[in-house]
Amino acid sequence: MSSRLTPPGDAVTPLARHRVVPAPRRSVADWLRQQWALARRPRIESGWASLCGTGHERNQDAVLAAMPLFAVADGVGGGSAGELASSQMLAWCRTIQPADWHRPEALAAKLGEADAALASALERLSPGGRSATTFVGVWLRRSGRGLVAHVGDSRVLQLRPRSGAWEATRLTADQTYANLGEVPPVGSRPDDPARMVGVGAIGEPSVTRLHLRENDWLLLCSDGFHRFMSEPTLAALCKSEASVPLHGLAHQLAQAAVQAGSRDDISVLLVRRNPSGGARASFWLALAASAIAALALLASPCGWPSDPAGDVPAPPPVSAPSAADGAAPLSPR
Amino acid sequence: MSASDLMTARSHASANAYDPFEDTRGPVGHATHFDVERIPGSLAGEPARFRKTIKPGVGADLLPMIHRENLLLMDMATRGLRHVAQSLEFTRDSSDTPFVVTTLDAGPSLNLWRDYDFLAEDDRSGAEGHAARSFLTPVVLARLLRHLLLALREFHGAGFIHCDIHAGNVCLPFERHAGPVRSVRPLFEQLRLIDFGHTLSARLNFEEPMRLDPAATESLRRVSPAFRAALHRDAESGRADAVRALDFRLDLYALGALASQFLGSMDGSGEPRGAALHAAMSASVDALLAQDCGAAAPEPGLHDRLLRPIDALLASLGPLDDGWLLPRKRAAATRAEPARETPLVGARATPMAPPVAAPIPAPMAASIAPPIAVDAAQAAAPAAAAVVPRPTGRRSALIAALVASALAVWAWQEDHLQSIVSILARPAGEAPPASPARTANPKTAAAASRATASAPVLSAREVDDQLNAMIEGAASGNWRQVEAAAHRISESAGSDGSTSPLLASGREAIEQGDYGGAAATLRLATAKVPADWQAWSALGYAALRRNELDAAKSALNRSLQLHPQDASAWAHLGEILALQDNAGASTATLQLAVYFSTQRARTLAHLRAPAPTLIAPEFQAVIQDMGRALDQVPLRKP
Repeated sequence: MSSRLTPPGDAVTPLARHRVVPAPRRSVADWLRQQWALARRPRIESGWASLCGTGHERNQDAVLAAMPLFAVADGVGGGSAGELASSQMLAWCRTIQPADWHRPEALAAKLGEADAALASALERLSPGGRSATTFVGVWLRRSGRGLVAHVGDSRVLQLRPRSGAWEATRLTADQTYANLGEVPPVGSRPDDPARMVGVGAIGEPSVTRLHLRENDWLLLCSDGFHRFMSEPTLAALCKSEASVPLHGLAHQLAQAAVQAGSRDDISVLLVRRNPSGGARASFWLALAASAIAALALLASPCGWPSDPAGDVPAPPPVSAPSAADGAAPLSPR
Repeated sequence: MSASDLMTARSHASANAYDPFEDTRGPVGHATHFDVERIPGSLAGEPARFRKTIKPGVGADLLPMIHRENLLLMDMATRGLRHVAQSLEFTRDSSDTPFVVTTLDAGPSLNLWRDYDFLAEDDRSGAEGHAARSFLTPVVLARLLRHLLLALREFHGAGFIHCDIHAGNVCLPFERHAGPVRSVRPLFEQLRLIDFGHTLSARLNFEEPMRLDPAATESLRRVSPAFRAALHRDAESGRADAVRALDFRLDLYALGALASQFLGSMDGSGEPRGAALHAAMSASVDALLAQDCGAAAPEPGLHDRLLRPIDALLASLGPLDDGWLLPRKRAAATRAEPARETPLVGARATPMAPPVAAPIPAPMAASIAPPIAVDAAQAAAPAAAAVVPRPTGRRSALIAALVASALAVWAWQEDHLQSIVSILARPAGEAPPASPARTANPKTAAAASRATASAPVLSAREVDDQLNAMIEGAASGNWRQVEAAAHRISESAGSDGSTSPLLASGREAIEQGDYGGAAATLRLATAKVPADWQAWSALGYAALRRNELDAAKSALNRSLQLHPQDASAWAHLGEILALQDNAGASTATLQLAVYFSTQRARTLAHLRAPAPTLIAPEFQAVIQDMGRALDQVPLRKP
């Protein structure tokens, strides 16, 4: 029976079926518990990691993962000013009204206001700090449709499982001096970001549409990550570690970038759209079958033998287990 | 992590039972009104999930506060704040009680960190000459203060004011060593703020007054005068208008109070620049304590201005050592300070568990306890009964056998047989002789024994004469005389630093306003550890609040005999003297209180707090008469 059970880890991702590691023997109780945990997963799931680079005392990246917004901001600035810019940028995103979350033109116009708003907030909190931030954000609906907005060189990748390998598609184009065909100022490199929020260099924020299918993944990251992880490597890592929950996988990816030589702050945010049925269907099916069987048993007339003389007391009524008995199932969220 | 581990919901009955450095599965929190337990059923590799619920027996009147915190957490969760413990869900249990599900990835609170001493990993092999240091070294304090200021800058920048900054609400995560050694490294840049039950937001308005009790002793420590006044105004009006008009400077004041508390227990041993660092940190603390909400708006970049001297101090220290540290839990008797909870309005009537204390075998307690004047009401108090259970039958025999064995081993090892005989033979009611200095550190013990050998032993009468000399010195402005007398007392009959395990319970009762219970517990504490000057001092305060002036005076006198630098004992003695119409002596003791205070700004703010205050009007008059002269009391060298 155990050979038919779902392998441990994340059975929601179809690629988990292709795992070569043999599944350890698991009891039915383990299987039920795992199915319950999977059934409780949200439709849109996320996990992230953000590591402080060896070049800073404090992490200047900021990450936000709260439906409908998933975003990464990479602060730039001397001292501790950069961290303020990135967190203020994410906090400012709360001012964008829901009506603008799904209209590219409206969202681009609203993001255009971020520059002045951020500069004003930074002037109030840390005058003379000279800080700014790059930004990438995804406003996502449960249907998988949404908008991707970005300023600077933070990236969004879409990872789609295929039969043999994962396909990684870049949804943003880095706004660097080289890509925009601009001459970098003295002291800057061609691959430095030419667009940033907070110092009057926001330019035209790029806003594009997105469609995330079931089992598709999104990966949002700062340059401390993508400069050291090529897309094929990334897709291979995600494929091989797909059974790891997103939080753990994000940490593994960040550590991989550190091992690849990144000294900058590293932020990785993974988003996955789980199927509505998927691995949970078998669980619900088993639950429904059990309920039907229990009802059928209760309704059957031959549950207890009756004594014709009537001098044997009837068995006690079967009562539903209460929470105090410790037999009640876990309450749903 | 096995499946069975995951299925086991973990909770800890008390903070003492919890070791955050041993627990490899993340921290579990504690509070007076809440339980935090691990939720079973997580998959391996997923972040642990915890549920924070109201403790059984806590009144339903706290529910609005929980609702308010949930709303704020939801708002914070959508702002990407780095220094806020991430929350996952907001829901209700089967009894319709709202609770928060959180990853609680925050790490142990600063209160928990302070319960440990740390040994640098390099020193592990060479035990000789390398003593474990307390967590709060000058460098650690400077780094904590810096990162807390940066965390508050971000928090305030997002439109929130925490309103309840204290050591229990700041968590410091750590990194665990990958090897077999249990060493850790604190991650200062990742520290987290928790507990947003009183937090104000620029976007979420609340009509109900804040539940923070402005009159509680703990509030007097960390609530700024303007904040306290606003709390009083709101309590009268039944609305939250006054506190909503405040700004983030009240958090900076509270941070100053926290830093001031830490500065008092900072471990500067082995630090060649200890005095200079102490002075620099004191200046930063004073700058924080000078912040309060006034008519004028806060200046732009205030956090940065406060950060600059700390940054300069850290820069002057050169590269910081981020080595691995091996934690060692302190004995309960040597804990830095008991964890403090936020005092809530109306929470005093909450049914609380009786104080947990080590049971004292009745025969032993009777043999060492001096006569205690306990009135009938106190004798019948259930708390006292819980503190000293009366073992019977087999249990008594077992305890007696254990005590006898322990005494036998002690006598054999230390040749203390004569002492035991004298203790057992002493008639009930006779005070025990002052115990010799006891310390685990052989070097300190040797130094103490050398000092005791060379110092003349003063009689009780002579110690009182020296205390009077201190008062006379303060009255005449002769601070050299004050120092000399204090030195003589310390050399002769100073406390050995031991504290009773009941001290924490007594202080907690005081913070709850239960002065009767506190007095009973503290009498037992002083009976158990007669050299515990802190217990004597707290007992004096409890008796003062019960208007038992003679008992209070006697207890404070004992505290000062053991530790003449006890600022709060001097202050409370001053209040008693003022109540006894001895304004002259009261003025002198007030100056001594200010002189010996390690947190002068906070002490002065407390003494000058506007009404309503617990300080007697007679003593307030003395303080008012002193006016700015109190500010002129010379600073004592650390």
